Amino acid sequence: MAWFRTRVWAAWIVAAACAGSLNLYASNVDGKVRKARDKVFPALINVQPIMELYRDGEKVVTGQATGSGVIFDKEGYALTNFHVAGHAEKVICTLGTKERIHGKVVGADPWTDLAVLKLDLEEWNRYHPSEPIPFAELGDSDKLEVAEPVMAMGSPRGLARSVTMGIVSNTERSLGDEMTLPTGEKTGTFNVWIQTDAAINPGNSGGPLVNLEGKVVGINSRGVGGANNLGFSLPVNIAKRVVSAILKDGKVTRSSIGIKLQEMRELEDHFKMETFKGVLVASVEPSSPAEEAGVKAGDLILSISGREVSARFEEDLPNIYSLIAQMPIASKQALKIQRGGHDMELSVVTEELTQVRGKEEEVAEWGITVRDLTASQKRDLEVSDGVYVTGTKPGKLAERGKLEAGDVIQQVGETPTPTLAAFKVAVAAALAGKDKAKVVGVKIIRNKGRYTRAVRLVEE
Amino acid sequence: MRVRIWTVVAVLALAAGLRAVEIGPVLEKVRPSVVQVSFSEVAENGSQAKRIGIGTIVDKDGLVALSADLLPRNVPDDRFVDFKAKMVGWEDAPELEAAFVTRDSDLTVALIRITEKPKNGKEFVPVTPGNAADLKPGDELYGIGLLPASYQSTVTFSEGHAVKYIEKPQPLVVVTRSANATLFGPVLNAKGEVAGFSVQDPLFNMQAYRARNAGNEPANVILPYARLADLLKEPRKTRKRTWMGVSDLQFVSKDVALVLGLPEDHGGVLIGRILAGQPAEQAGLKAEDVIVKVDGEDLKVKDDNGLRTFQERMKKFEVGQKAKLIILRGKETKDVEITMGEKPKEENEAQRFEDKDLGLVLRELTYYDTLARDEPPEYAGLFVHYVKSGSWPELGGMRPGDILTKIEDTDLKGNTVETFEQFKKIISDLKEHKKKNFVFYVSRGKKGQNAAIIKIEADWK
Repeated sequence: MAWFRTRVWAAWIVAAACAGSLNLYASNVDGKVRKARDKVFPALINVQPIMELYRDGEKVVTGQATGSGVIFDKEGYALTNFHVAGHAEKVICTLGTKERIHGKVVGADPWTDLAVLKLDLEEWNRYHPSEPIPFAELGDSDKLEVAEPVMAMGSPRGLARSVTMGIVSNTERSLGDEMTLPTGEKTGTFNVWIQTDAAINPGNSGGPLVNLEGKVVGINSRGVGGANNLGFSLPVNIAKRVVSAILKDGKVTRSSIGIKLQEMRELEDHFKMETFKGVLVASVEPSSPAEEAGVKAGDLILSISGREVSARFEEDLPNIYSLIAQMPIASKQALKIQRGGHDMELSVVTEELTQVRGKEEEVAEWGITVRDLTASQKRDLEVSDGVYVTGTKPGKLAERGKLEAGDVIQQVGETPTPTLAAFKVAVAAALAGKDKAKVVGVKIIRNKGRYTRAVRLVEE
Repeated sequence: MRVRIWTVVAVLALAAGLRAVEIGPVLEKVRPSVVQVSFSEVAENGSQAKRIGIGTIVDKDGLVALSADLLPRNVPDDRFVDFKAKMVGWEDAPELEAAFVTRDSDLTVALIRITEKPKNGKEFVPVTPGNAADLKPGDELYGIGLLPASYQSTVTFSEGHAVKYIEKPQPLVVVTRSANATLFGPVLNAKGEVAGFSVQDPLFNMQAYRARNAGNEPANVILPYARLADLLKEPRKTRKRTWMGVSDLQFVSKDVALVLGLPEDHGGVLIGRILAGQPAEQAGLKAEDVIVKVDGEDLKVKDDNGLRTFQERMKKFEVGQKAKLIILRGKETKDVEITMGEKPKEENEAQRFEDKDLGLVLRELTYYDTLARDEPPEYAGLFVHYVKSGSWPELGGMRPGDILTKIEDTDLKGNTVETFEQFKKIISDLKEHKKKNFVFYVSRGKKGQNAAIIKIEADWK
């Protein structure tokens, strides 16, 4: 059963079993390990998300997969991965005491693959009157060193309350910035990773990486399929920033100017630089703030808002992306760039960074699931507005009217449908008028082609 | 006792008489015309892949028809070499040299010519064309196949029947599965004439039908010989293909007609997309226009078959010919005259250029390349077709599929053969100055979203 429950995560975190290196540590650092364990282990939780997924044109609620998490606050706040609980509203958490209590998702951030949970303390108090819920302390991931011993805690393959041990293999692993989560969100642009050989398996997702001071230094997030002892943990210092934003606003907002950066490497000759400074612009997104400001591929950015930026190596890029992300949305920023040997200054107005997917809902009357379009998605699809079809249920109205996943619906009957809300109203209006008009026209864009579909509301 | 013997003989004779055709003579007639074609496809790294198929001699000068599917569509003609025709139906089965002539992706036929004269004054025997349109349901047909060399290149046959000759959307003969031939093998009628060639379902419908009905539809399709007539009369190196430059066509079904406020049986072709810089755009057509008539003919396009018939109809125009369309735009009826254009070059027709120092093969950017990447047709750059393993660009991170847009501080201009000249000039300057380090700018992915600056560390000889 445990295997089955965790199989959803198999593609995301797959790590092979760790060979018995524990003995080595047992003799050397035995006392420290026990102390550190006792500080975090009681705060370890197993997270079973009650997920709302949209499949084949309808909403499906499922609690099949599990992950891990750690309570970090006396109020019962806990951290886990976005890919564990990001699409859940409710979770069921199994505590170190083996009791199950409910929790809700306070906020989530796909870019860093994090979700913040709030456990129901009333339920806790029912079992443990006047006893505070155990929580772990978040440490400082900047102080981590390569080869420092660490423990990974969680529920590998659903086996709750498991501890594995290893060392920090690398403190600034770059995995590129083009990763996506299993549910399609972009991730990983704003951080490097802690690499560890502590065994991490499917089900470890969201669990803590713990140093010998007994502090959480990372959130275990990823593994590598087919590899041995390659696990990746999100540095806790990044998690702390995400937590404070989520507790304050319920979400993390970031700015974007629409550029893709490239490290300098050995290109200094070409740019006639005497010292290594600046970061290269590899590409500029069409109709983005950067394009409007006149930024071009091949420009070298020397400073952003007076702050010098420099990326000689790939590992330096997340910091620069983060610097841009932290600027206020819709604020004017100065970019000092070098182009063709000349310095110049450009002014760019930031915009909000959006994910590729918006809010999703099922419209059961038609057997269809649709999403709001985000700004970046509109740009990708080259549409001004509309709702994005994510699925249709076989045999229902939408499917029979030849609507398909990937279509952008722009109009139902004579009513434009720029948003999910407008679409629902238009569908309801069409159904209400079905005695008069048995067929309603639906205008869609499919991969840049315009189609007029006919949805038959009343069978002949 | 005697009576009985006679009866048996009489019954045997009757059985023999029921057979309308003797198969032996029919096969003997076609056997000298069947050849085994072989050739090699040369990849950019020099490796060769050998391909073998069945061919049919169609004229006395040794013109051979074979399946165009044997020649991968994206590979240019000059990459196919060492054509040979083994005369498997001849007594000593000689293997003769041959040369590529042309191929036609619409008809799925390729033509080669046997260039080597047979010994002893032997002559080529072309097949006799038959008329597929005359076939009646139940007429005998013989599909000719070829077993590989391990079976002594044996010419095989299978016996089946015609099911139906259909005219629209394109002339085809549906035959029973038992009349199957090797891909593009000839299919003979009872007189031993070639009624057509066995082809993969050109309407792409049968496979879907089979999948839906979870079984085998016991039918096959042959391409009537007559459809090759024009091409065989004058085998052209390149045939201009007509197009109007639209995509995402939709037929106006009964329900769509209702939605558009038209009578139920109105029909029409709803245009989904007008491609930039192409004839339809120049004629002023717009997305969501409904084409009703072509040169006065009301096509009543109400289903998939109607849409295909419309497309076949449009292909019949010559490049430069004018077509008179009647369209509906909203409630308004309009006359539109469109000058049919030439379909843009495909990947295999794009010119290529190899730079041996850099280990690169570049090619012209095709219209379809720009379309697939959401770039305008005039997008400037050259397509990186091949990057040699271990070459300087490869070590710098260049990949096949990149579009080279800029070298050092110079933007490439245009995307055709003229751009090769610009490229050559820049590279020869770099080479002359023995420049060791320089950069290539490449665009990658849709709208160049994954562009990169690539450092080349050169070691000029």
